[in-house]
Amino acid sequence: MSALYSLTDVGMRYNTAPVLDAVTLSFDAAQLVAIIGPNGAGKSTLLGIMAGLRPGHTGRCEYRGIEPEHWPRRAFARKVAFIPQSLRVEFPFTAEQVVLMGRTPHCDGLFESPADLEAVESALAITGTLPFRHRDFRSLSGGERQLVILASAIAQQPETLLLDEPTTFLDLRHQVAIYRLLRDLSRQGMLVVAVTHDLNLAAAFADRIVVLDAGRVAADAAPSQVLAPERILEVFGVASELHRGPEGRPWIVYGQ
Amino acid sequence: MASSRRRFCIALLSSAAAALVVLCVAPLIGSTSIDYSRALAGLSPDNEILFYTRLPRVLLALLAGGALGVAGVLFQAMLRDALATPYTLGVSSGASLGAVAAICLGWREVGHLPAIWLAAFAGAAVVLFLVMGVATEGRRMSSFTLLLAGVSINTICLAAILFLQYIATFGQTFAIVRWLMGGIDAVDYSTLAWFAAAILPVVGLVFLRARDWNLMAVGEDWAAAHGVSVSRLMLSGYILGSFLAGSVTALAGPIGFVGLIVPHALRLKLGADHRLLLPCSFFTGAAFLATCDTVARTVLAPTEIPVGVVTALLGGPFFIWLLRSKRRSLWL
Repeated sequence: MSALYSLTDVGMRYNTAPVLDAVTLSFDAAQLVAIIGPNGAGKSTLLGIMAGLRPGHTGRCEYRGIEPEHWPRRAFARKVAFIPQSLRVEFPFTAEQVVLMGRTPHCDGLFESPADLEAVESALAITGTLPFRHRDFRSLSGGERQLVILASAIAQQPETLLLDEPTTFLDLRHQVAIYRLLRDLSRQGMLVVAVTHDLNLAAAFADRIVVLDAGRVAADAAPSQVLAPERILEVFGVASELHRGPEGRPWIVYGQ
Repeated sequence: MASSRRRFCIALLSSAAAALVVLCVAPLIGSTSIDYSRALAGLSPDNEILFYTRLPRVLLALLAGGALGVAGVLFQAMLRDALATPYTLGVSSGASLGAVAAICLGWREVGHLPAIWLAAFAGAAVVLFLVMGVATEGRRMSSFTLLLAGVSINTICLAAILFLQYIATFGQTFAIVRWLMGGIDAVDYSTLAWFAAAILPVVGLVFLRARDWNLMAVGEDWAAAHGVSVSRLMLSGYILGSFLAGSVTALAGPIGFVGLIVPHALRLKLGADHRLLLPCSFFTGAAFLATCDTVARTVLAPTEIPVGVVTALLGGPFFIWLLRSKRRSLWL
């Protein structure tokens, strides 16, 4: 089976400063991939290019052989869901209405069909967001909001899910809940690509870790091969110790 | 879901009913009391007062109020800011500048249409293209620059209006001031028909994209990631919104705060779904402005106050309250 995403020599500049440089990667279905790297390494830019939201890159970034910008927009949105770093909602939408928005690329009329409502119902159930479906999205806690946004992406029924720092600012319970959901989705066949700063969550849940450093791919392999103290020192400038957690997955202790 | 559909219908029908009640009751109120049975029987003067003075005026207020309500919702969704209105974006002041220029130049009629209307419309269109030209970066329009451009153009237009007022004759100055206060007058039915033919299809076009406006009200990337063509939707919103605001300003002068109060109050009550918010804002805006106009022409009868004064006296304090509560919610 050919890869869903194939990136060849992708570069991006903001004004004259290169943000991404010669990034070559490919992503297959049924993987949970974590993208890690220091601030300014180009992680969010890479994700934005893959989502078709940041025009102007060099090289080729193809989804199923076609650049995201050249896909018909709605057709692309049926394939790829994107969850931004933060969603600041100004107006009083309920949690359920935010999830309903996930159905937009599937829905032609002004109102949702019974099939749309069924998809929303099941997305609310999977994410455990049914209890606050009628609450104002703005009144929810950060963790609850992130679950609602994830429910919206699940209702979109994509084959690929891109997430920009899905667990930043969340408490431990929500961090683990979100990564468990992402792992389940990838086991059901979805390609899930998440930018994250939490090396240990990535180590515990991801099938593969891509390390970006100064716009270049510094490493790309399974967590146990990527997360070595020498590499963490080189990329993040932080000394660390490597331990082993369950299933022999790496566990990093920093700052010694 | 059945309950939410019922809620939807109730909200829609009750806002339409409010507009209908105002349509029926407002023409009865005035310095001379009239009743429908005499007017419909063709008895003078009830017949003339109803059909030539009060009904056209109420109809104009209803249409203008509805258009302003929808324009407000539209601009607020585009800029994701409950404070955005045609005012904030400079469209209304562009239209005002056009009208004031026409008064100063002494234009009366162009073709068969009053010059003030055409000039107001041209002013709104010029501002539209200026603001859009400034705010378009590459292929995308940025909301922030759009708002900034609107504010700057607002200031320029107001300065130009002051300058024109300063060099105008005494009679012209009076006409300018009277026009700037905003007012609804009885117009003939052919004008009303043109106005309705311009406003109603545009309102319909906006409503057809209500689902996309929901996504846009959350964020541009959010909309784009759900398959909405953002720049095209923004362009359509800006053109349709300015068309609504420009047409109303042309006919009734700059009437403020309808596009602010009505959508905000409805959002508190009904939530933010534009499929409900847009039609309800049309009906409620219509009822609100027609009620304000009835107050304006009766409270100091036989003297009339401009309706813009009534909406501003109600809307100004509301605006300040909104600003304060907005700031509070930011601190929370």
